[in-house]
Amino acid sequence: MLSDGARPRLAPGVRTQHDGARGAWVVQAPERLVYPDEAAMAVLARCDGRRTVEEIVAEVAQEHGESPTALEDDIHELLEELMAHGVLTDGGP
Amino acid sequence: MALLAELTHRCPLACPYCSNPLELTRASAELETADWLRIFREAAALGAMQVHLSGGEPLARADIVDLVAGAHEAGLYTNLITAAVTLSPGRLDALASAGLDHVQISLQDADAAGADRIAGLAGAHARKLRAAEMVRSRGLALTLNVVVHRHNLDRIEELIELGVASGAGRMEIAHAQYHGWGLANRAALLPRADQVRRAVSVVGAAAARLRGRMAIDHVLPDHFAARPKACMGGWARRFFVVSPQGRAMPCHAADTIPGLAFPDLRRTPVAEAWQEAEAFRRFRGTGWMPEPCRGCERREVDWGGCRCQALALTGDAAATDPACALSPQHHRMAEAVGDATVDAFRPRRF
Repeated sequence: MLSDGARPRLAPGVRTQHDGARGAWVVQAPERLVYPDEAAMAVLARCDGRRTVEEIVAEVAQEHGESPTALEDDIHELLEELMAHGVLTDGGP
Repeated sequence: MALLAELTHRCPLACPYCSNPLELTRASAELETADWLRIFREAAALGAMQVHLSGGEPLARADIVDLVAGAHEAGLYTNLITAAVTLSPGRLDALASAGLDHVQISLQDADAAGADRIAGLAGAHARKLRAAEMVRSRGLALTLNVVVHRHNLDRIEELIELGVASGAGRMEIAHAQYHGWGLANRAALLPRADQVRRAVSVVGAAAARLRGRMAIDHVLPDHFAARPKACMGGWARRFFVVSPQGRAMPCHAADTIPGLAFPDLRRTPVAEAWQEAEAFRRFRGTGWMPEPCRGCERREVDWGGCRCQALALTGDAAATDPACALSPQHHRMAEAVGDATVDAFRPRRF
C-alpha cells in the first residue's frame, strides 16, 4: 500500500517524451513503451520525487475541478500499478 | 517500431547459443559511423522510439560513444546490450554523458565456473558483476539477461538472487532460441521437460515475490509449448533489424530463409526498406498464412509464430510454426527434445 507521504519519481531508465509522429506523450522504459492517456499523464508529470502522493492527488483534483476524495483511489491504483511495473520508484519521505 | 542495431559480430565471448549467423561478418565489412547515424535518424523519422545496440559485442565498436550520442540526438531511447567484460569506468561515463538510457548485461550462469565455461572466457563472470556494479552505482538503469538451457536451468534461484543482489531493476530470463549457433548446438542445449516445469514455477514465484522491486520477464521455451510465440511481435510489425554490414531484416535470423533479398541500407533508405522491400512484405500480416493459421482465432495474436523455426524444422518458411500443437509437424519439437542427449557444444567462433 502506497502511503500519502511517498514521493514517487520515474525509475532509472524511464523518461517521458513527446512522440511527434503520433502526437502523444510516451513513457520510454527498458524494452517497453507506454502511451498514457491524458489523465495518467497529468499524474506522471507530477511524479518528480519532490511532490508527495497527497500533493499529487490535490493538484490533479484541482486541475480537473474535482474533490481529492473523488480521485484518490484511482490515482493510488495507477501509482501502485506503475510502481509494480518498475515505471515509478518511491523517492522516499 | 524498434530498431535492433547489430553493430558488429565481434565478441570476446563464445556462447554456443549465439543468435548471430554461423557465417560471421568481419570487421572490415561493417558499416561506417556515418551510415549508422543516418540509419538512426531515418528510423526515428519513420516512428522508431527505441534502439537496441547489440552485436556481437557493441563495445567492440571504437565509435560506440558517437553512436549512442547520435541515436540519442535522433530522439531514440538507447539500450546497450552488452557482455560488459570490456566495459571500463571511463567508457561507461562517456556513454552516460552521450545519453545512454539503459544497460543490459548478459550473465551465463550463477557461478563463475559454469558461466566462464559457457562464455568461453576465463574471468568473464567476475568482470560482468563488476560492470553491473559500475552501472548501478552511476544510477543508470540495469537489466541482467540470462539465456537459459540445460546446463544452467537448475540454478535459476541462484541466478535470480544474483539479479537482486546486483540491484538490477529488471531481469530477463529467456530460454535459448534454436537458430544460428543455437540450432547447431541444439542437442547439447535443449533442457529436459522436468527442468523446464520446475523453472517456470520458480520464476513465477520469484516474479510475484519481487513485484515492485525487480521486474522479471520470462521468455518460455517453444519446445514445451502448445502455441507459438508472436516471434518478433509478428514479422516486420515491430522490429527493424540491421546487420553489421547494413542489411535490413525483419528478424536477426531471417537470412537463414532462402529466396529473400534483404535491402542494403548503404543504398536503400530505411523507409523504403520497411515499407516496400519484398523481404519485409513476404510474411507481414496474415495474407501469407496457410491453414491452420489462416482460420485460427489466434492469427493476430501469434502471427503464425516463427518463420525461421518453421524453416528449420519443416523445410518450409511459410509453414505453421511447429511449436503450435495444431501444426501437422508439431511432433518434431518433441523429437528434438528426445534427441538432446549430447553434452559437448561447439563454441561460437569466426
